[in-house]
Amino acid sequence: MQEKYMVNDALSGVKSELTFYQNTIAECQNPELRNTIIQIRNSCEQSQYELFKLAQQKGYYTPAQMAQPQEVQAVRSQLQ
Amino acid sequence: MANLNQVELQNLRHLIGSHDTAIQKFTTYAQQATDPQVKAFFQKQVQDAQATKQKLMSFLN
Repeated sequence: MQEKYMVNDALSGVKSELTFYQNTIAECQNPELRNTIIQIRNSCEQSQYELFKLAQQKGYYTPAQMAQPQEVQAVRSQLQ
Repeated sequence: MANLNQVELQNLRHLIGSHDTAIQKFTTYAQQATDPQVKAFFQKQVQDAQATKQKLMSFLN
């Protein structure tokens, strides 16, 4: 398997993992378990950002294009 | 026994299982990766997933 696909699979997987941690934290009654999942979630977020930067640096992942000023202005006008 | 409710137990079951899968997958990815930085990242993922699995397993004691 090409490295690009492995990196993108890992990026996709970590996003799902973070969502699951967040739901699990909200559903925890046991405080010790809740704190442990929070620590794991925090570590996972750091790891995700590290992978994101690596993927971007290697050209394996391209983020969305920047929003144009007029597009930002249009949203602001709608919400005022 | 562990002080867990049904939802917590099922979430733990899911998380431990997914870390088991991650250990296997990232071991393969680390072997196949050619870029040193990418290889090191996957190797660290294996170590982290093993440690996290053990931490989560402790709640089932």
